[in-house]
Amino acid sequence: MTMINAAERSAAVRGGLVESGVAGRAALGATRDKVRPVSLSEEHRLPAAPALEAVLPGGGVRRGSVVGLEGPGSTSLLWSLLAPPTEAGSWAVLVGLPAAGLLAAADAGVVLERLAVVAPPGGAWAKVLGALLDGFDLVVAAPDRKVRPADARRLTARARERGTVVVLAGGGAVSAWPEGADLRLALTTPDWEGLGRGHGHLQRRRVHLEVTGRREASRPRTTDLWLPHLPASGGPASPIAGIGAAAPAGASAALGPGDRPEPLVRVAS
Amino acid sequence: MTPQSGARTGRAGVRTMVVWCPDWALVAAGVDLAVPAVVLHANRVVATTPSARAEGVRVGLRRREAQSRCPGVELVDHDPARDARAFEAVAGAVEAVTPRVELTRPGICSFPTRGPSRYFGGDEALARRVADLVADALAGPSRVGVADGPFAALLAARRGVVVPPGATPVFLAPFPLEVLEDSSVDGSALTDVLARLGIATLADLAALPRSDLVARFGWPGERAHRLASGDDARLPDTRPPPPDLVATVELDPPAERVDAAAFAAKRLADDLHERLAGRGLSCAQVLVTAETEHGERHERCWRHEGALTAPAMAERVRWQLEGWLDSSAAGRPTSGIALLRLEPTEVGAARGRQLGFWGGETAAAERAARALARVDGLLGPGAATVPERRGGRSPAEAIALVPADAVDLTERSLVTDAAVAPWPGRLPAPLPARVLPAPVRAEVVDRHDRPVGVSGRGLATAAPTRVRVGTGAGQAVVGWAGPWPVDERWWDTVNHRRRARFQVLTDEGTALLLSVEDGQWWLEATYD
Repeated sequence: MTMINAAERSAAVRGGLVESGVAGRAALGATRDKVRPVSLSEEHRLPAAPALEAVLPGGGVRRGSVVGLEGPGSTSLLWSLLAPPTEAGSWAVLVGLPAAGLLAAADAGVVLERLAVVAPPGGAWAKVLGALLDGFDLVVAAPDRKVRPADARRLTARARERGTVVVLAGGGAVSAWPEGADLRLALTTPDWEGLGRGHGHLQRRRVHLEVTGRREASRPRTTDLWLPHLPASGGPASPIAGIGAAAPAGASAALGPGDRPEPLVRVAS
Repeated sequence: MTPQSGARTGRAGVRTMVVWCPDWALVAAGVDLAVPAVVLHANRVVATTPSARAEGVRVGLRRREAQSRCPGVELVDHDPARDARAFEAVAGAVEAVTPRVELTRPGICSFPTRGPSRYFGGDEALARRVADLVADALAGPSRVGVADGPFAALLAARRGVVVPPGATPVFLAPFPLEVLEDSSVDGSALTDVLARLGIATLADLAALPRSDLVARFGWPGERAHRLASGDDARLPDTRPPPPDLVATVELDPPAERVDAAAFAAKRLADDLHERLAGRGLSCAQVLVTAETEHGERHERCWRHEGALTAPAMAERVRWQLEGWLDSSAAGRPTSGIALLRLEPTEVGAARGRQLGFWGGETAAAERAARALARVDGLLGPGAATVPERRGGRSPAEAIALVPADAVDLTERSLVTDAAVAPWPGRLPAPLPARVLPAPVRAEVVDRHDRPVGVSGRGLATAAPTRVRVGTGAGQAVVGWAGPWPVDERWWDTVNHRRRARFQVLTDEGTALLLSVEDGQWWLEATYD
């Protein structure tokens, strides 16, 4: 009898636990809703291109961080990084990039009406960057000389406070920043397609992207990208079917006047 | 004087003479007025010559419409700075008669006639004298008119008459309501409503009771009634501005170039504007004085129908300085500008500005403009630029950088006809991401180390094998395409350019855009 009672009791207890478990989960959910932060960290990120969302921690660059771009193709990656935020209304400024190909930027989707270009500041890098951090959401800098650690600390703190993203374009820029970048996007192994020996023209390039950094980005993530990607004529812009798949048929077909290459397409793996 | 009769309750306007140069934008551009030509701004016509008007081209048409009405019409770009500079000649000529010339906008200047009229023996004699002076100074037509008040005097100048004192209301009576639109800041809003209410001429408007107009339309209605009645638009209680509103800056070292002086003027205008705004005042007329080291002085009085904003004041200072430098050898300054003074000569209560509901100024654009202004202050004028699309075949030509302080960042549109026009010889997409600001010398050799060239028929003389930019052994060529010949301006013996472009892929994975011209290779851009 006691055994039956014990079994019954344990069943009852287990049932009760399950019940209280269900009730507990519901209560826990209610508590979580109450203590949820008012603004999620996801809202403090800049919008990113779909091909990069999977590889950037949190789906986008966090506002107030320092991003470093290096490797072959970093300028094209820069334009693809700038395109979604400028379309969404943010202002961006390029400092010390005299060789910026702005037509290519416009083709990648950067809104030129919200872009400004500042000449290389020479010796006044810290002051100029400080002035620009107040007014812009994205500051792209390519310092040609080392920034002093004290200045860099002050600028990073100010950027974090204002929510401005500082992008260091080029390997030289990343090494000129004493503290390093919070997020590093490194490109390797560029592979161009479309150019023959005396015929064709450059159409698309495949690169390998590795994302490393601090804190949430400390676990390296990698992906392969088409950068840029010129879709084959006759079909809409779409990612390639798989790694190692043959290039789309008719890759060297004539380019129509209205065709715009897809700037950044992820190679689906 | 019952309100029903709408009799004048304000003081009569000051007797003013207006010199009007019709179609000034085209005269300043040097276009012969017998030729059909139009001035285009933002793809719309803003000024026409009489021969274009005869063909049916009107202000406000789009470019294509104007061209369809008059196929041979010449197109001129809108350039207010050029108009103002050229008008300096007329202002200088009128200055011989009176020192108080007021420039309303390029093409129209006015001055009060009481003193000069007495000196020259009457309004008619003064009008003839001024017309002669202006005709000597100017190649195009001009007309002179005198009436009570600047608004009536402008209408008199369009007819070329001298209205006797006190006869202004009778003179104004038959004019349609559209003449009020030129000088109003609201454009046609008020006149549209009045037209729908059945008011057709200024006489009808003046016959209405002023209090009713004020009750219905507020200050614009009162202003319209004043003008229609022949009164002065300025309120009778305009105070003389307090002396501490004069803004002065001494430039040390003196500014040799207009750019530096205009930059200082911009700061000065901002400072003056802040002081005025702090007292709730806005300024409709400002006296700009520039002095050089050697003591030469140049003064101009600029007025604006609405209120002069700080950028508008700085712009007028720039026009004045450019006009002074461009004037004849006798009038030109001999040294740099050492002193700039802005003196508001007519202030009134600031009525604020109604911002547009859609678009217009946004906080982000203003923040960006302020940050760029600070950078200009740190690095010098012109360091902060914004891109603008031009037409062009090569990536370097198609985008130009203009100084940010010359552009209104809050309202921009970069789509122009030149940008979307097809340019044969354009590079195929995708475009290079890095475009060198100046091409760099390079060498391209074939496998026997001989330089590669392009034959007269547009074929490469040999397959490129190595590319060398700067020092070093260079890189091996893995793929290449070209030549894509570009033959520009074959009809122009001076500017004729023949070059051929190549895309080259090196073994390190870098893709380059090279061009060869007269046997010399240049690196133009990299596909980074």
